[in-house]
Amino acid sequence: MTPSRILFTLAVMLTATAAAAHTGEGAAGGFASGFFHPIFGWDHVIAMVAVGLWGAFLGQPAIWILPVVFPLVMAIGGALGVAGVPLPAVETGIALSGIVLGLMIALAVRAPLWVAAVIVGIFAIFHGHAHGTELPEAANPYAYAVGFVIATGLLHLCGIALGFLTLLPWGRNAIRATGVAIAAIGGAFLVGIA
Amino acid sequence: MRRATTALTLAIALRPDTGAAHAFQAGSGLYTQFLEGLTVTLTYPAILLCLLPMGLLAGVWRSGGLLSVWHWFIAAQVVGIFLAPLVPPEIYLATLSLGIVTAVLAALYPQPPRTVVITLAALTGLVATCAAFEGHALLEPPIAARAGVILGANLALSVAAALPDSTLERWPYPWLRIGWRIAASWLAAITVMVFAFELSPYLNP
Repeated sequence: MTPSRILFTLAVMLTATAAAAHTGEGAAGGFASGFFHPIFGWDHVIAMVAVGLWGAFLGQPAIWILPVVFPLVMAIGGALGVAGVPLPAVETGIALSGIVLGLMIALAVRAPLWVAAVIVGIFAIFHGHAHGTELPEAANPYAYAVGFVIATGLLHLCGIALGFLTLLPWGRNAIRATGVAIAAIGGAFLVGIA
Repeated sequence: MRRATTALTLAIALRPDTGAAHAFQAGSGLYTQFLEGLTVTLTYPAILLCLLPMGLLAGVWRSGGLLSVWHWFIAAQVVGIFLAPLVPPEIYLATLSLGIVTAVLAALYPQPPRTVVITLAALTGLVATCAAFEGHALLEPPIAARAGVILGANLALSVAAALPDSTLERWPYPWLRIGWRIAASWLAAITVMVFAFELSPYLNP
């Protein structure tokens, strides 16, 4: 690169003004904040995928009941968070969700449907509360809600899609191994090393 | 109804109050007024989140489900025009509550009895119209804006119903039906959150 080009590049870089395009404000920023909130948090990702995986593992009708129950109850947790209602040990609850759901998959627990729905529902409250309390001030709240609900649902669908591996001869063991990994990651969050 | 009660009701309905929610002031031409009315229905979350779940429920309920309850919706809209001047500003909480109930039903029990769907369709038409015209005297909104509101509501309802209805008719796979029920649960979750935002003192100081 010639010196003149370097000088020109430096001049352009040093005279750059503040970005106005993606400030996190408005509807687009709100949607992005909400959408990436579950996706950029590994503690959320493992739990959402685990819900889909466990549902696929349990078969009909759990395969769709669990991903339907989770967003509904999660939204109630989110509403509590937005309203400022305190919930004890939210982060612990989120970490425990990874451990418990991971172990359910790893041990191939065939819980009755209502038990599975209650377990998933309880943990959904913690995840929703975290989303509700961490709503960025600048973000459009409506777009934020749409974003995090859709992201959560898509993570469930990823889990369900992975769960279809159980139809293959080796798939069942692979999914159970994934459950072990999910429980281990949840444990890492619980003891604070992740 | 006794004559005095009728007179009082008419007086309240016709009072020249200024609408705070949707002022219907921007449009000077008929088309602009029409667009303004359309925009009220399609951009106000409390109204839209009441209409979309109803459409979704009608779409997953049965093939051509909306067609068998649509006239109830439209009749309730007409009633809603006359009731709107009487409703309090908190009507949006009723639209959101109804949206939550309808979306949860579409997600968990998408084949309810016909009377339930008719009741929900009528209630949706009623509260959505009341919410759109809330705060306005009966004769205040221009006819074109009124037409925009009514058409916008029917547009949102029909599109929300047509998507599941047509896809399920074209591809009658169980997983697709499950997919629409999951979408209904997402809609319910979003509506619960919006309900919380509307009540939150942090967001509505």
